[in-house]
Amino acid sequence: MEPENNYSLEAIDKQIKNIVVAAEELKRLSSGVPAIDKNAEAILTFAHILENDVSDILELDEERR
Amino acid sequence: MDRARYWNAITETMSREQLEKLQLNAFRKRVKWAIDNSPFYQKIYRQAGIEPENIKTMDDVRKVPLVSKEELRAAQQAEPHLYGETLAVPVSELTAYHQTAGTTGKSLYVTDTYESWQNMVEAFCYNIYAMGLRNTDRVFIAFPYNVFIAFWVGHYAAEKIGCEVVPGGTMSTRARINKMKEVRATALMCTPTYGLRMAEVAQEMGIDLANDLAVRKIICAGEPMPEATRLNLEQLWRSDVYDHIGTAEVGPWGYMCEQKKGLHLLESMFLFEFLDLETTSKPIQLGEVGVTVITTLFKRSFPTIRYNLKDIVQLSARKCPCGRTFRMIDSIRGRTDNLTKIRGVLFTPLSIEEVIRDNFPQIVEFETVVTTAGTQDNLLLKIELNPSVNPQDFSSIENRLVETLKFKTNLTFAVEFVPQQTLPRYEYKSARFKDLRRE
Repeated sequence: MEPENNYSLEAIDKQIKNIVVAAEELKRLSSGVPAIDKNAEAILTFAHILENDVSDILELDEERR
Repeated sequence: MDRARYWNAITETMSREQLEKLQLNAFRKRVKWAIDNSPFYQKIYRQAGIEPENIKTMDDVRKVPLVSKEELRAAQQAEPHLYGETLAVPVSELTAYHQTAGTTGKSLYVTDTYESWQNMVEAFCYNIYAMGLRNTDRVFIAFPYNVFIAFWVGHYAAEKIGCEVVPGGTMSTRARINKMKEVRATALMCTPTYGLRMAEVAQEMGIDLANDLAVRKIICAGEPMPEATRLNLEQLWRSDVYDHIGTAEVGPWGYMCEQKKGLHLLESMFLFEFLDLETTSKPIQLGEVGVTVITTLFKRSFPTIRYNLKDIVQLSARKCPCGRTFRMIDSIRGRTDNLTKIRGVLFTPLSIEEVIRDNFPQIVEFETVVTTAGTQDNLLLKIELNPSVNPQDFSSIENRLVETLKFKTNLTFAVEFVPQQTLPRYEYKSARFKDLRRE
């Protein structure tokens, strides 16, 4: 699939939030299975990096509005 | 805008106004985290009456106390073992141990959680992507993979951007050169000193770096690289050579882009302040020389907030044509703790390297020793020449070297020619300056 020409921070942020919710739910469902728990944590780590890159910037725009 | 030119076009090209707001927000969060979780910062911030919600401008930032390596080191003497009061997360969250090289005293222990380590890797991705590394590159890492952070983070960053990584590990220099030839590595990561050393060994092996090897990009780190040394490496390797700066405590914070003119500051992940050398209290202006104070904006485990790096840099007035809006530094001038007075003259050992690499390609290796005789400081520069130099030329080389050094440093050096292969060679940080006056 070709990348979109103009990115939308809002659309990216929405998907990051979805990932965070899904990964947290995975952790909750892991019932102590380390393979699920730790991989879900890794997903959260990268989601947090994306939050720094996108969501935090969006937050600034929202503050300005 | 061609977004693929940047690792992260969103942050690297954002407006200065937005960037500064982003930094201030993140700075406030770091200070709050430190107050809530780090016994070390709790103490000093309570004493100084620091309230995160009152930090709204850069003037407010400057009211937060500076922190030094010595203070962090002292705080590590407390319990719990290893990190003492500097630790700001439970031990169960730690996943990476590293330490500083200890060139300025006892090593500082540095730790990361999985998340802060991945942020370190992310920061290095900005660096190497700007230098032009891509997923078609095969990167050879000439680093012994030990407790020093150096190219550990480079390894994972290269992997993350999709390069194929060849770990040089504990191989000898000859074995590394042969391996680079065998696998046709297209890029190399090493210290500048070791890049020169490899070139010397390749010559002994009869290997032509330009034609027998496929290396076209070299990423240097670990020690200051004067422009003359960078150009020397480019000539020896017929490659593009890039500088990058970072430390174990804070992470990789500055990088060259493909323009190779100065270093960009990674301002979306760090907050930088450049302060006057004398009082470390006033911000310097563009083009001036000052000391670097840095805040890592992503670290929870081992916060470094208004950390005095002691790196002396010249703040650039240049706007880079690459389009990045991050500020730049022109050069790294050394460290405040390496500045020393010799015969009453303020001196940095980096100036010797600048003179040699800029003017004397025939000098293969060198070492400076300062001693005291009575009340007089004596400076001795030991040099090893390329074997092709005619002994008849020694005296003219010596005269020119003494004269150039005098002009550059205002000091008179005695020069000693030493036999080949007698001066130490370095794989990591070099230690070419020996001050024996205090011993």
